[in-house]
Amino acid sequence: MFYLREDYVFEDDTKGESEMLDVDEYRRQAKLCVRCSFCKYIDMNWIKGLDFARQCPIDTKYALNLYSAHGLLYAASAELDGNLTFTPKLIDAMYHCTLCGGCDNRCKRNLDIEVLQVIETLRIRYVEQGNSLLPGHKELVDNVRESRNEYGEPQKNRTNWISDVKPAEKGDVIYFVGCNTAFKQQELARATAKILNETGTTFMLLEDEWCAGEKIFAIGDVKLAREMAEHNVKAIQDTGIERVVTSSAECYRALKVDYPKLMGKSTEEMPYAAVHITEFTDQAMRDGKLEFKKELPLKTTYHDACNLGRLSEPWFEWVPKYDGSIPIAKVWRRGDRGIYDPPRNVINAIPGLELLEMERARGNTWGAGCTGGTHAAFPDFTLWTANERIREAVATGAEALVVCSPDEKQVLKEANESKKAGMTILDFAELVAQVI
Amino acid sequence: MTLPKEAYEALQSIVGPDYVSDDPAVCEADRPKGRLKSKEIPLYKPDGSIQPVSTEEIQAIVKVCNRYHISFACTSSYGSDVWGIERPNWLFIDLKRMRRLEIDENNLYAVVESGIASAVLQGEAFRRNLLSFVPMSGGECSVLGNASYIGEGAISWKLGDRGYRRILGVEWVTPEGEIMRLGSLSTTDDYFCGEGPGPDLRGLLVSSGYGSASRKGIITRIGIRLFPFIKEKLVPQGDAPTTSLKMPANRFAWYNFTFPTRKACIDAIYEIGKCQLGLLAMTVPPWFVSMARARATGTDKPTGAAGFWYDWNNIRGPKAKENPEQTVGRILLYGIGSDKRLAYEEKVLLDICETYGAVAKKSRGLQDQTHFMSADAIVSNLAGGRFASIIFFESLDSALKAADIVNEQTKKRVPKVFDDHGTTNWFVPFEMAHIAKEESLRFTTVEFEDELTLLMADCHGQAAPLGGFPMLPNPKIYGEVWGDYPENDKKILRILDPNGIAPP
Amino acid sequence: MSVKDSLTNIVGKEGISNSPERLAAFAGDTSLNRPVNPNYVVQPESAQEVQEIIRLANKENIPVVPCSSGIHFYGNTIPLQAGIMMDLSKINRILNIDERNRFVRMEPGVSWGQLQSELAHYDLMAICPLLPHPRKSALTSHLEREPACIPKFEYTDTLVTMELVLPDGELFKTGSACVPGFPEESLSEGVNISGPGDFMWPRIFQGAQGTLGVATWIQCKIEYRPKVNKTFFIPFEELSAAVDFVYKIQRRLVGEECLILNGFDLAAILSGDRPSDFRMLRNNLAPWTVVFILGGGPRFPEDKIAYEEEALQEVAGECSVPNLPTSVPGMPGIDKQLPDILRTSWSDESTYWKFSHKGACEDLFFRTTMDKTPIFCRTISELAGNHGYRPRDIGFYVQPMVYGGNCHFEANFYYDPSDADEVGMLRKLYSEAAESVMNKGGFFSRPYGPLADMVYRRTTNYSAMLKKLKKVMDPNNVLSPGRLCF
Repeated sequence: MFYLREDYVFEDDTKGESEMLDVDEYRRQAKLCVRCSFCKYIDMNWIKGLDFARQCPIDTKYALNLYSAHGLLYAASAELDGNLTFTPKLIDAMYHCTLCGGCDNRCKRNLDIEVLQVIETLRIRYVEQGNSLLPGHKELVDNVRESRNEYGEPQKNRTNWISDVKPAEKGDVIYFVGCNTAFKQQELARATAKILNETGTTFMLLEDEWCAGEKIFAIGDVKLAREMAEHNVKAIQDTGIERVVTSSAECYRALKVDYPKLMGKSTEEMPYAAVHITEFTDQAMRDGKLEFKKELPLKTTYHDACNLGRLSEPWFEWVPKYDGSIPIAKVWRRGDRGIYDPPRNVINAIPGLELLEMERARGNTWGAGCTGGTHAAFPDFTLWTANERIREAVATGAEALVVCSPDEKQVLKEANESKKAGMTILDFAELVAQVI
Repeated sequence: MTLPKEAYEALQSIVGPDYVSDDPAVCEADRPKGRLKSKEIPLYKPDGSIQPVSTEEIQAIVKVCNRYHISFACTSSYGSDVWGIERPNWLFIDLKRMRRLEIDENNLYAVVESGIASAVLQGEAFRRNLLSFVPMSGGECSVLGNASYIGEGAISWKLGDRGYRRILGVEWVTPEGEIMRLGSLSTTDDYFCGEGPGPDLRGLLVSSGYGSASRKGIITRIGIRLFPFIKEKLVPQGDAPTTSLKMPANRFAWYNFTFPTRKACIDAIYEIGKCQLGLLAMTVPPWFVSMARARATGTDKPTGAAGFWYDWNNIRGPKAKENPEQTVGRILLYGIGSDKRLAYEEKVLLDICETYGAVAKKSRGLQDQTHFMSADAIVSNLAGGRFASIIFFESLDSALKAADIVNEQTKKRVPKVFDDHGTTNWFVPFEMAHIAKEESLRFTTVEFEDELTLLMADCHGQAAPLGGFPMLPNPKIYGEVWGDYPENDKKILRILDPNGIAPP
Repeated sequence: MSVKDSLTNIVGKEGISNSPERLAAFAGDTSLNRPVNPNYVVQPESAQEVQEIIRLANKENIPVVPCSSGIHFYGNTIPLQAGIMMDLSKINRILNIDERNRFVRMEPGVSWGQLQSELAHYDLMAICPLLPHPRKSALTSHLEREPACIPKFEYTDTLVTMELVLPDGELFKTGSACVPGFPEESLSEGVNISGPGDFMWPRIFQGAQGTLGVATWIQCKIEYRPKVNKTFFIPFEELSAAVDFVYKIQRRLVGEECLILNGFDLAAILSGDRPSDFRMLRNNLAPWTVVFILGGGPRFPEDKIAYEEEALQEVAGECSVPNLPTSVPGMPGIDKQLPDILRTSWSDESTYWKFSHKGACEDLFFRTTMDKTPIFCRTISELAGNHGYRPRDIGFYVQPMVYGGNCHFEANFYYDPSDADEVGMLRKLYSEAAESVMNKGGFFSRPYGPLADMVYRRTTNYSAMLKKLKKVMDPNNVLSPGRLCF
């Protein structure tokens, strides 16, 4: 076995911290970057031309290399070594990044560098050093801290969406609604409820559902994010139900990935399994529990949400241990096992619907710009990112764009209107609810 | 150091405040690390970073640099971190915003600016049933930057050994800030021809791999050759890390052929070149297979670096150690232009294999992971975290001699450097075997990166008499071997850069 | 010591002359450019003698003009400021034929005929321009970037390494040939064009017309010479149709030689010095002919020709070309002979195709894209008509290059050199035609004689850079002064 010497270990990595917080692992990963710039493009084999070859929103919009994964990794390395402080440009670049994971997915085609974790940890370091949050982030964090939802609205209004289909006292599954769906796009909750109901699945709500906290973790406030996680996990555990269904890609990712990460566990060790409505519907279809009775003649394209696709693989808790340069017993999350096929299976099964794929699809998806807490701090940039996606959707010749995240639906709708693109933006749950 | 205030203001007025910065984080993010340069040479981070969008902006920037005596260096795609700047007080000129791309399908060329990546041009070429060239250093490399520097790749078998073969008209800003237009661009608005008028000044621009490619100034736009291709499409498939292009079976066939010795393989490759078969041909070192297995997913075996070492230590490595001379060659036969061409190529190839005692095997799968779009270029870093390519360009026979030298030198540095049992020399013939590259990839960890630098120096020194001048040769090593080159080069560099602004 | 004595010390009594006849022989060439006598004609026999001559020239501040072919065409060897005419024709060895890597290393005095017949013994050939004169130096053709008849991309950039004597008299070897002791005592095989430094020197020396260095040998690529061939003479009424056909066939990557000739040029080539054949061909040949040769490979040559011919048939169908003739009326067997004819120099100096018709020929050639060739053809024809030169008597040759990516376009003006009026008319026509071509986007990549003035006036920075280069490399301006923009 090739390695340096038999007893070699990287400095200080015996303390047993999870890789997310292990400073030496963070240093190792930041320094592995070779600056190849693959992080700026979609997978090379999938590039079809000039128009839709770029992967990274901040790199595409801003010219400075700091606004790219390799720029941020080099800056992270310098900051860690004490050669750089959090300058205004670094803060700006770091928080413009939408944490969409495109760079991570791209890098792991060849190099297995934990790019996204480095950028996440850079933000955590920023917050832990007591630096001021950006105004939009502060507002978001204050809302969640005080009201337990993103909008600062009374928690009791979380269940105002309930209409014909009502939750059970005790159900087969828990329906985790999410802030955006509960407060801003209640029709999505009703559509989800309809689907569950149609399959004969009873669902219950958490007695006191708090914000999943995906954006809080993304901003770097690990303490608050952990608080949200622990509360929600306990609430789930208290129900005794082991399946949690959600129609929000953000909440799905939080439940499946962020929570175990924050609690030092692997996904499989959590007391529940998170299921996205796309997975649920696909499975129900295969089990014969769901039938598409109506035809919907429509050309549609499908937007892969980052949080449902490349960022949604189960979290595997790993304490960094190396044999020389080789990580021991690490399970890799490279983004190829994301939820790509279930929504497509369903779309393809709906009579009359024609699926036209965008060039940047599946693991190559171009995020809508609302992950990573970016929307709260830089709404203009999010709009620009979403505009790009709409442009790409229009280029397919589709009339409709199906999404699976309320946040993404919201920003893509705004972009659709700002560009006067004339597309119909449909949430997956809405689409299915129309045809069952 | 910081840039002089007046200079910074001048730069801001050229590109606007959004596209120039001296923020420390920006400069740190742009600092080239010079990974394979000797640690004895101090390297400096830039004092500012600027992103122009036109040749005229670049000219103005370079003139400001000359006025205030600020050095500069540029990059188009930042596709590598092996270069470094050996002097302080310099400006980083990033050309990524220059993204003009036009294609003349009839006349088989494209006009590209610095910010166009090779894979992007390839995608556009494929749309038009044309073929472009993507270098082995990766599809993200700038077409222009790579072609004017090295520009070699798998398809150099058919499309020219290096980038200089494909560059046509050129627009270039000299280190003094003059805009030069070469070839047909000198008297027309067209890029279709690169030669002349008279002496071909493209010879001043194309580097052989030594030093920074900005030392002659900044190339802003070039015409670049495109080539006829098949009508059928190559279809992308899979999710990263195992994506590939599915190839039409009536146009392509992969063949592996196994020879008892390296020499026998090389003999056959010469004959294959004479018969002008295929789109690419090369040998396949056994570690390539280990690397491919490393990225396979959906199995119960380890993946990533662990997967590589698992495969190498348990399967490929022991076999290689048993029989280090056995050599596998691989060729992609190419049925362009006629439905019967593929059958002809297969017939000739099998005949050659029989002549030279090889076992030829047609691959079942018809896909390409890496040669058309160079999606796997930097996977060599995977094994240990750092790698070095020790490369020579000379004849195929010289490649064998170079390989022996590299193997000999490598043995002295094992186990700090990967012990490949003398089997990871990679012979990549170009131009139908007129010339070849021998590339030995050597791995180590971040901690022992210096070993690679020293190994490279040893190999270069020992192999200098072969004349296959590689990338990044240290002039101190070559000394007399360079003949009159250093003196003649210096004379010309003084013309181009009288104020000493461009990087050394 | 006088210059003549110094030169005699270098080359010996037999190697130097300043007799009026000898000087006159080198004063001019077959072009319209006005002759200028040199002061001396010397014939060195080695690179060392070349070095000594150039060092002497620097010492005495006297120009040196190198030449190697026994005959010259474009004014590029006329000693514009007199001086020493250095005839390299005695340095004429084929130094090495590298069958394995497919290279040949040769000296300046090696003619095309000598080269190709030697290479033919190995079933190899160098890539040849169209029917060079028997005394034409193969090295000069490579240095001057003359277009080859086979437009394969693989067959371009054939020159890889070279040895030169620089204007200061130093010997310089380029690329991997710079390794000390090359070739005899070196492991290098001299096949890598780029050396260790910053520049690609062969490119700089090519097209320099002897102003930046004197090549004493070059190493260039050679290829398999097909033994089995099939020749087609495909007729077209319009050049645009011929161009369209060539665009399409080149996309298939099939064939060896591929060139477009108008009736006049093809008749001149096929008839040699036989006026009756010429007249017959002028009457029978189509206005344009695509000459296209399929060549078999070293193994299963007939199979290769078969599939390539099938591709040719498909393209003919796409272009509505009714048939693909393999013969020329009145010229039986020409299809079998033509491959060998095109793969070497013209055989007999006395019947050289460009001189047989009227005694001389002035060539106007430039680079363009194939789709523009009909425009240039029309423009030149109209101008010719305006000057009283019959358009029907102009020879046109279009050589596709690099799979048809661009082309060499050549107009051949045949004239009687003893007719002063015709010569005068042709000078004016030539100049006007060149100006008009430039205005319409034609590119003179190889500007000879007065064309150089026209071209460099428009390039500004290019010529300024060339002058800087020249000043550094040749501070005394001894090598071919007055040439190009120097």
